[in-house]
Amino acid sequence: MNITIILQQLVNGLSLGSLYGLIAIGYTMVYGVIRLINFAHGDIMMVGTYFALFAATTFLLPWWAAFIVAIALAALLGVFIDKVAYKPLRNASRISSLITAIGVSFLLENLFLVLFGGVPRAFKIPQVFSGVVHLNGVIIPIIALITPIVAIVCLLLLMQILQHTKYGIAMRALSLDMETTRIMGANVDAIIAFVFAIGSALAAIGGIFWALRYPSINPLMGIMPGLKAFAAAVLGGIGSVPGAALGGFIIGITEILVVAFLPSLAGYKDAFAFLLLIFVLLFKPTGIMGEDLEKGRF
Amino acid sequence: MKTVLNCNKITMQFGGLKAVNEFSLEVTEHKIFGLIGPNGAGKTTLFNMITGNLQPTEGVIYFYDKPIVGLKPYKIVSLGMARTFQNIRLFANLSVLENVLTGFHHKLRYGIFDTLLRTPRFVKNEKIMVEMAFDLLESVNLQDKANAKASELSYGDRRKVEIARALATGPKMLLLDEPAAGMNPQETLSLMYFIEEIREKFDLTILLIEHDMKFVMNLCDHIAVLDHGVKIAEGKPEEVQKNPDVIRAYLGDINA
Repeated sequence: MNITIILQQLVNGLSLGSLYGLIAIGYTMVYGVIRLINFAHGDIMMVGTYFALFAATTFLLPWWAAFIVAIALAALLGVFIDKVAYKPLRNASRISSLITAIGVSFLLENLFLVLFGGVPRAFKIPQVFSGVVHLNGVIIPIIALITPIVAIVCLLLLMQILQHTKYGIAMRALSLDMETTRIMGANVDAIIAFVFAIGSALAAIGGIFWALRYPSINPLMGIMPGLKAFAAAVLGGIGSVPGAALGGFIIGITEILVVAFLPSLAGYKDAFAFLLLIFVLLFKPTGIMGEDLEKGRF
Repeated sequence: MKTVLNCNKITMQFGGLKAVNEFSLEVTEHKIFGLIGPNGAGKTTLFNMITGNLQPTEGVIYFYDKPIVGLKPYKIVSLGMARTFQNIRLFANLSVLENVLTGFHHKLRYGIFDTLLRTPRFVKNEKIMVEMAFDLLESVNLQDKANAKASELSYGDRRKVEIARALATGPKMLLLDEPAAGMNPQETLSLMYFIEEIREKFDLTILLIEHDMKFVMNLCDHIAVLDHGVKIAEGKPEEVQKNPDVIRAYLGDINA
């Protein structure tokens, strides 16, 4: 085993991990503000990818415009789902919203199956993303280089919003005590909608880069990445945004390394994410960077 | 004298229980108004109706002649009403400064795109906001603890942060729900001066719920007494103190 291969695999893992991280942020933020595991999140990622496909092929937009349109539409879809499916249940028991989220997930998957069929479609990769770079014998696809950069830029922008703006402070306040946040003069419904918009936009970015990596898309493509991103969010500490990104990187890198160094277990690669999750939760039930949110108020 | 808050025959019915029954009250500008009554009399329910957390089953509430029943809490806050809670409700995991900053939310005029692009408007607004928050913390003498987590403060300091946070919303009227609860006589006394002070400094009208009679009698200009959801007396402190109905509500009927 030489250093080149290890480096090669690390880059690969970082790139996959940043995709999980991007999607995991949506899970963690929504959970933070309304304590809901949004099981439809992986499907929003899928829908975002289809939006990008149609914007580029049916409406013939240049790739960058297609991506922007798809991200914006996915954000709107997230807000719409919240308004129609979750908001009426805001004061219901958590289990009701959870079941609704699973329902929304099935709805999106089957709606797209009916509308566009189950046959995978080819996602056209723009020229810019298709090359490779040679670096001391390590062959790195450009996309594997760009993905982590995009993920980290998104993360930094988001941290900036969360730490230093009125929206971010309101979001963090909301995750601790919704009633009091309302009394402080914040429009709680608008803040929650904003959270769904951010989460869904990031899911769409994740989906688009997923499709650039595995350029064949189908209506069920969101399920596995969605589940693993959920595992990443819990692993990193649900409710914590940097935790979600960290969890994503850990799960992505583990998955790639398992396949690379234990090829006989490659068939079980999906199981490793969840094994890792179980293992960490045994020792730290709140996840790596998570805090017990219920203790956040007094 | 201008009427700031006018509750007109408001009733709150929870199932078969009338927590507040045809309650009327007029609070005039710049006064400190006390609301007293035994536990479970409906005082906090009344606060919740005034701030929009609860919708009265019947009756109307005017705030500066504007009907506010049915408005969302954040709308009522933006009209100039702020409150604190009986059990202090700070955001424990946020710093003291951030707690105060939440109060500025509705006054800041910048959008999401200003935030992402860090436009001059955003930077300027943000700077002003932090400066104002520091001013408020200075007025409650907590500027040194701005970066401490709210959960690290002493009980008395938490109360002050909660009041500073309420002041950050820029209120014309402040509702205080048992501000002296859990305080020792020393702390209670300094709270009394503090409330007087902020009334002058921020030109506030204050409505407060309190059980500490000495505190209420010394501080308030006017008092209303609530028992079983009904107003049984109203007037100046010395009048209320002598009212036989009030004595009966608190001590029970001696002849019974």
